Amino acid sequence: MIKVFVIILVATGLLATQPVSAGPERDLQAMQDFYQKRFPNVAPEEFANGLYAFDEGAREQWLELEDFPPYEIAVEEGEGYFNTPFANGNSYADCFENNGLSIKQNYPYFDSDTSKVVTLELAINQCREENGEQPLPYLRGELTAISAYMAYTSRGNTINVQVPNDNPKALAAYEAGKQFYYSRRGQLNFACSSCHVQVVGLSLRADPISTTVGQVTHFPAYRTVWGEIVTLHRRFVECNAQVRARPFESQSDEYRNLEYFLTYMSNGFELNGPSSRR
Amino acid sequence: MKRTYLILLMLLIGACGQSAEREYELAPNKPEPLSAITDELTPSASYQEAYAAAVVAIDAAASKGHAWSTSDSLLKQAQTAAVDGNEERAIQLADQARVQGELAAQQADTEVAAWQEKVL
Ligand code: HEC
Repeated sequence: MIKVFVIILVATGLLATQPVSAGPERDLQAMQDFYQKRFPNVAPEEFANGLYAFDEGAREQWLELEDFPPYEIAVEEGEGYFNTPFANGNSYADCFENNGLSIKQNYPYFDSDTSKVVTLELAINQCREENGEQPLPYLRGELTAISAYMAYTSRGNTINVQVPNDNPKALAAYEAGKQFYYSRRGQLNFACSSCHVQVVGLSLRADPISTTVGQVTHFPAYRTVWGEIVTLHRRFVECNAQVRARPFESQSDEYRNLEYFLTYMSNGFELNGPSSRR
Repeated sequence: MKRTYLILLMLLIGACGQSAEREYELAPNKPEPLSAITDELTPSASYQEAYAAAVVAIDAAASKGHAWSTSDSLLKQAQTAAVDGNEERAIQLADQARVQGELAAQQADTEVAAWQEKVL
């Protein structure tokens, strides 16, 4: 009798300590179901095109722009940087699997040794430092160009971010990113989800708001309004600033965890970056 | 030339502010604004005191990952007013920055649990 009681106690105790969600797979499914129900007439793969999935006029302009892609220069520059050896004779290709080509679909990943989420941009700078070079600034310039080139070589590959089941720290990083996404911030008291889930597809200002699923497939992205190619974290900065929150540093733990969650929400999508956005 | 540039800059800043405002107006199920009732505050005794308290409040919010850009800018304006010798205005601005810091920390505390309600 006592044994049964103990078993029940233990079982309820376990249930009580389960996280709110039953894990990343459930989250992804719930997110996909939500958008499919909200936009039954939009083919799910269209969500990779962000706001252009919803706005015909903007889409036409965008397709015209893509005939002479404004990010092409960055890709070419990036290729040049990528292939220029470091002072010690090594090069970026030596740091990555498959010589750094066609690998973006595996980023970000959780590194068990450092217990940190590693994004492609972070890995590029780690490669430099391992080879005795100074790290590059994250927000613009050379590093963004290298990232654009590496994204370009990965076009068409399917995003496949892993949150290993057997690593509670990886799950914790994913959960931290998820919490960030759903937490209200700034004087305007908005969460990422307040816009990209609650009012998704609606035209606020000139642009309809893009879905969470498929949102990261095309970075780095050339922004027409800024006239330059920008990383995903720069977009995070902008979206945080819009709600009057103090943004975090590029490649901070917060943004890397956020990227981990957000990219998982694009698992199954094909990479189509770099791209252009207004 | 310089003037045109200034006007353009002001328009740009205005547009940024407005668009966030407009997004806020348009959002269905929009959250309630956390507005500071700073008019009814009893002003701090000195600028030094007001400034120090604001820094503490803002740092507390930041350590919870919820600092607001608006309190940062109020604090900068307070510093400028103090440098210009406008003590009364400097105190008022620093007090506002402090209240915003407190609200931001409250937001952080609320969201520790509240974020889960929004999960799909
Ligand atoms: C006030 C509403 C609002 C909030 C809150 C918001 N965003 Fe955005 N976001 C936008 C708008 C508007 C755009 C531009 C239109 C679009 O592409 O969705 C955008 C664009 C983006 C893009 C680029 C989409 C693309 O196709 O290039 C990403 C990524 C993004 N947001 C992520 C986030 C994240 C992460 C958060 C939370 C930190 C967030 N957003 C919070 C309004 C918002």
